[in-house]
Amino acid sequence: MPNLVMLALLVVVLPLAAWTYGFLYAFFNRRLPSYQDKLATAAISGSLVIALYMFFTEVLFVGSGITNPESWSFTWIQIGVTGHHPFILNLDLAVDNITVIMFVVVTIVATCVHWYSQSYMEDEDRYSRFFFYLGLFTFSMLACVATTNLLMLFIFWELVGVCSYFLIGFFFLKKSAGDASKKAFVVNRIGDGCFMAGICLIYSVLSRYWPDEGVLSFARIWESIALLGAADGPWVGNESLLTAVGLLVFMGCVSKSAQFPLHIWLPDAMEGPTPVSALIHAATMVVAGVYMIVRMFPLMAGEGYLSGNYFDSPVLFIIACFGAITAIFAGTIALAQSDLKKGLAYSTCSQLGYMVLAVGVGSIGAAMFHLFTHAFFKACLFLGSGSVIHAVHSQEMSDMGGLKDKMPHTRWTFLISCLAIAGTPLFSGFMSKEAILGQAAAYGLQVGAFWAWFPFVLGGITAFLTAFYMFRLYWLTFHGEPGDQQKFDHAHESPSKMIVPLWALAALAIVSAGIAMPFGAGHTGGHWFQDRVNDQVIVKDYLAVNASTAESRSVFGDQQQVHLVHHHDAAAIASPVVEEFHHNFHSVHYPLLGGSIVAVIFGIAGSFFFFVRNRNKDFLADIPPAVEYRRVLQNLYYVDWFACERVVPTTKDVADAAGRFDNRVVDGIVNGTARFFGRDLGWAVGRIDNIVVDGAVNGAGWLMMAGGSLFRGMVNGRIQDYVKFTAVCMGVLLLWVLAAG
Amino acid sequence: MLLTLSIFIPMLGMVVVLLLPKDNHNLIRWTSVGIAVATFIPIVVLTMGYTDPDGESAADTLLAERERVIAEAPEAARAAILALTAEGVAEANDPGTMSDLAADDERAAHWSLVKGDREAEAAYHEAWELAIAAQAAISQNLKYVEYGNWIPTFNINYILGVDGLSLPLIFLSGLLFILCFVYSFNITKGVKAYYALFLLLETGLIGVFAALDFFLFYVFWEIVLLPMYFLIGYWGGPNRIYAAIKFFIYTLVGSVVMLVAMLALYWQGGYDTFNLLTLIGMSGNFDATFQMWIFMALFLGFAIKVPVFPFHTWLPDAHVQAPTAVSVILAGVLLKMGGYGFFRFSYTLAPEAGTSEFMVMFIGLLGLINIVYGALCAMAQTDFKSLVAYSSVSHMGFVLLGLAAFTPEGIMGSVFQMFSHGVSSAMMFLLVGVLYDRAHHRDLNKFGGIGLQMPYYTGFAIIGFFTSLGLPGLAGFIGEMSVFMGSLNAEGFDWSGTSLYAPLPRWVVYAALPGVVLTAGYILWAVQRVYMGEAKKEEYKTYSDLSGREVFSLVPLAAMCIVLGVWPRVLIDFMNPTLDVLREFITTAGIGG
Amino acid sequence: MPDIGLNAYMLVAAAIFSAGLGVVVARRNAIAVLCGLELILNGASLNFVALNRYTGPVARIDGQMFAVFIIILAAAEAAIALAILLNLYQMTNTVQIDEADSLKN
Repeated sequence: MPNLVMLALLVVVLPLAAWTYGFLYAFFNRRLPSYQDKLATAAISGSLVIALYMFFTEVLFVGSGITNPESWSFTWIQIGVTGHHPFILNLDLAVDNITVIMFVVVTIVATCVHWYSQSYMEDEDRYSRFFFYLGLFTFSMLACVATTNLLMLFIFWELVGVCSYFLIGFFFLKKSAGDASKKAFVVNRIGDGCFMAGICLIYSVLSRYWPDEGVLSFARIWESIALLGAADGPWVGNESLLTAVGLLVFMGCVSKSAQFPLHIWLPDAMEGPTPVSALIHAATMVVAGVYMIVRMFPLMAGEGYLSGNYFDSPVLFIIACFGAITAIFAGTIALAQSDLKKGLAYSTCSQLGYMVLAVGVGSIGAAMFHLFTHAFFKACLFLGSGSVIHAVHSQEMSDMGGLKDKMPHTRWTFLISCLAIAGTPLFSGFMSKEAILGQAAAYGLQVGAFWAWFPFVLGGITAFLTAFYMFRLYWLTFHGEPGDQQKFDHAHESPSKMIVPLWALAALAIVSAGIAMPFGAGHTGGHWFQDRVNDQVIVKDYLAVNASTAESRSVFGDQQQVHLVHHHDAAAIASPVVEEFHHNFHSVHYPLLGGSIVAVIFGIAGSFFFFVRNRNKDFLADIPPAVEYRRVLQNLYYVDWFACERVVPTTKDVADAAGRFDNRVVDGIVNGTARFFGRDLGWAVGRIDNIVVDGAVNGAGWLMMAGGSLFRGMVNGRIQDYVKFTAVCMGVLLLWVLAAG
Repeated sequence: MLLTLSIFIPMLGMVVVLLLPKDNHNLIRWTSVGIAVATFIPIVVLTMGYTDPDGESAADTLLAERERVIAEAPEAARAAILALTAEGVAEANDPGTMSDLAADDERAAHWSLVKGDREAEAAYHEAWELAIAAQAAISQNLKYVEYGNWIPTFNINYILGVDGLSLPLIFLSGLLFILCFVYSFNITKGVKAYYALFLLLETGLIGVFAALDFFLFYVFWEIVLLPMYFLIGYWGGPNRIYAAIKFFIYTLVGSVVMLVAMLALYWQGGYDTFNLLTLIGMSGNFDATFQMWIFMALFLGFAIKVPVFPFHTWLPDAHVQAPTAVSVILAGVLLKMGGYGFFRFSYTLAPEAGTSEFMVMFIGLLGLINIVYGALCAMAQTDFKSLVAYSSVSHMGFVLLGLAAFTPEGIMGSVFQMFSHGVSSAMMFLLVGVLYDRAHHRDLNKFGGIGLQMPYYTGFAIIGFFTSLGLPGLAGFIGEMSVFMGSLNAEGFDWSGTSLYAPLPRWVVYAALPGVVLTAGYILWAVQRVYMGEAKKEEYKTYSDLSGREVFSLVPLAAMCIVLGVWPRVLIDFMNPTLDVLREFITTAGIGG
Repeated sequence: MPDIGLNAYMLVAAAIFSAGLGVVVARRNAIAVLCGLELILNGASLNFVALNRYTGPVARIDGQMFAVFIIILAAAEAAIALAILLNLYQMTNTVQIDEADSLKN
């Protein structure tokens, strides 16, 4: 097993060990150990150390990062006998740049959350259980990003979903928490069902081409796309299926990463404790969807992948649209939220839309970059909000206000993160958002058609909105007059266990994008992140080591064969499409930079004006035409209403109808048949027996009697009559003889 | 010997229990548990020894029996019988052909030595049966074959044997009975009769899975019915008589139709045999119409047991009215009799019919209906047990869907799902039983807050219900995943060289996918109503958590759910060779036949 | 003697027989019935004699022998019948024959 893979295994297994210990302890002792929190925190800290080690030694300062990711396979399931088209599912582990980056994200945020929760949750009854669930979650999430097999990813994906179920429903005494967790799981299941179908279809197509192998690994999937140019590739002749598969797999992302219209579970997920919201619903679980489509990018880019011409891919455009719509949709709703956490939730939803948008317009690097930076500042925002909620004992912003002096640490970290998310230059969010919008604009330019500008336009508007509503949250919480004087008096800064993680994350919010820019610039001279997470390079490097035949491996090893999209790599041959794109990107770069700075300034200033100067929490309430719109926003564009008031009751009605149908009709037929054969038929046969059969018997008897009485009259005892009769008979006999003779 | 032991120890045990004094409940209970454990021991030995490559295979045993039969035949006919039933020629020399041989046929010489002598003819018939049985494709994976004459006049023999398909089910039966016996310590009326009937039930169930003679199989199949009738009808809930009668008559109707098929097979082609392996070996010669009739007749018998829509309505009544332990056995093992019947009998005896376009669509559609309709009905139930019963209907739909696909992962998923469903639904019924013992009602809408009061129990409930939901990491996922893989792969699979010309279309599977969402919906809704929230009634706060007895019956099942989910190879490797051979046989038997 | 042919004799015998039958059936007095019976017997015996004379072998006289038998038997039977009648008269005090119907069902 290669060295890196062993380290990765260690990263993944440490939280599992802590969790398993808790599980076994609970099994034997009927309760969890009281030190579960320390165990879990120690485990995740260990994983953090290893992940950081991997990051710094392999990725950050080294050339282009990991360039020859060796994978390690272990056959988990083999169904069928070799030679008879078996189904093989391998536990594939490999470590490349993306893996390490995800490890870093997950472990940093998880460690911060673990430390934070030790203080935040200490009053809870089921304190140990919280860490127990967190342990399972961190294991699942890390495994999800470590594995390079799509079906294994799906397995851990669902496990992550179930952990989310447990954690959202942590306060299960409240009905709303139970409802929220159920909703989250069921909505996720919808996406998962489609995802599963997509995986099965991929298996169906690829196993025909590579029988006797585990074909669901990334290596095979990517290779199959690379073979689209060949005459006998697995997807050749199956292009419509490829598009369908791309969409089905994307549906998994739609539900997991809360894209419209399956976003409805995310705001409700705020029922869970705040650290959970920070970890799962901001930084890690929801980004699993983005991670997955980043990995499956070749599949979705389809035919244009090899040439770099993603701009023709319908699947990618649809993805971009979903992302863009989600971004603006969630962004507008966030404007009308009065609950601090819900506001942050919609903000997360919007940023996820950005990430998906990035993938759709062709840059997984930009998506991963935004994922990376977003994780830190969003987690910081959530933990900060937790700090405020802890102090004020309320989630409504109407109970907050003017806390800036009472809770300075929280305030400053919150402010830093807000600046980051708004896209202020020098903060990390600026760079990542830049990358996305730049790519979207270049996409528009490249394709030229008016609909291609759709992602960029929506994304741009959202950028403005983001600054606006995020700062609204900030001003309303920390500035102005206190909403509730009692709560205000009671409020105090949080203990250090909560403050330290906040500062750590805030520091990362500034630094995570810029830190390595001068370092590790790589041999391509581009941005370090984009360098590491270039889809072509990632795939090429991976396949150079893991492709199915030695021949393919050498093909992929040869740099010349791949067309890099974004970088000045003199050694590579860029296709005309790529060249054009390159040109477009640079032409929009500076205007965009200017535009985004303007947006930030306007956003901050505008929100300041509305919410500090005028202290008008009820934004839009005083602009008559917008009141209607505000109501729409408060009703979340009626999507939730549709799902909960229309879809669910309809399903229940259908279910009830099915139940009644089963009871009355199907069972009725059974009972009816039984009654027919048992009672009715028996009655009929009984009647027949009584009337007909018995009647025949009686009739025969009566016939006898009648015949008898007929002849009885002849015997009257008189001899003369007898003689008469004899004579007559003799005469008849005589006549008969004469006649016959 | 081991198989006979495991089948008849319960029967002997029943006699022992009947002799015990009826007031000493503890003696009866512990004796029964002891008997169940005594039955389980040979089963465990069988399981461990099955994968040993040095064990005697079925072919060897059967051929050895053939030698014995020939050695016991009349002197003059021995060589002739040997020649007639030799490998390679036995198939052509069946009794039907022999009786109308032309005079100039070279075999006539042999036949003349045999014909006329009743003993010789009987010996020839038996030797022929054994020869065909030994070379049947299925026999490759059968082990522990036991052979003996039972009713020679009708060629009924006592043949037992297990392979990768039946042994896991036998193992599951043996285990579930121990757990049920322990759980049933809370039965207080008619304890002796209860345990005696249960032991008889065990005999019938293990016999069904082990029997390789069609008549013997039928006898064991019928043995199962009677104890169930009494167990439901006497120890059951308020509507028990109706449920018991319904169950009995419904199943009996199916069995009678199956009997007709059995007799038709006996007389087919003049073979005059009930030996299943022989019939399978000769099934290539059955003509297509006959096969279709046989398949439909057997289908009725097995479909009622699976249960397949629309023959499923006995299940909710039987499950709800039966006492907990009986429901566990009903769901855990009885339903598998139907699925096992499909694999062992229907498809092997009528392979061409089974792989015909009509049948593939028929079974696939029924599977689809089972999955979705079962899930919808489950959602509509307010009785906890009824919900679990309909979820059984839904899960067995996966079995049918995988079966209709005929791909390796489809077939494996189907059998794996049978096994994992046996474990998970047994667990769910036990969980409901635990609750019912405390609350004496099962109304979902009246529950609430159980999780707060009984956290240990809730932990088990989470494992049980999430297995049923198909969560990865637990047993239910493997079966579900394999079935979906297999059935979506059916259209894309390489069917060249097989008789499957019209594989299962993909739209059937797409239509079944919402079943997954619906399953999540009703299970989570039930979990929320029962375990989450505040305690709806004050008395819920007084419930004690699981007792040792209850823990004992839940732990093995929970462990199996987790082990099968995390390391399914335990079961998959066991079943792989058998199912592969079975699948190859079914899909290629129609060619050239 | 002139030959009048068999038919004449048979016709006469038939007439006597029929007359006798008519008397047996129609007369109510028992003695009259007996007379009718005699007539029947004698008609039959006349038939015998005539047929013997005309169709029998020349030397045989079976018919005449039969006629003698019939006369003897008629006498015997008349005696017995009268004896029965006397008993019947003693019991029922009448000789009307249709009064003797106690053998009716």
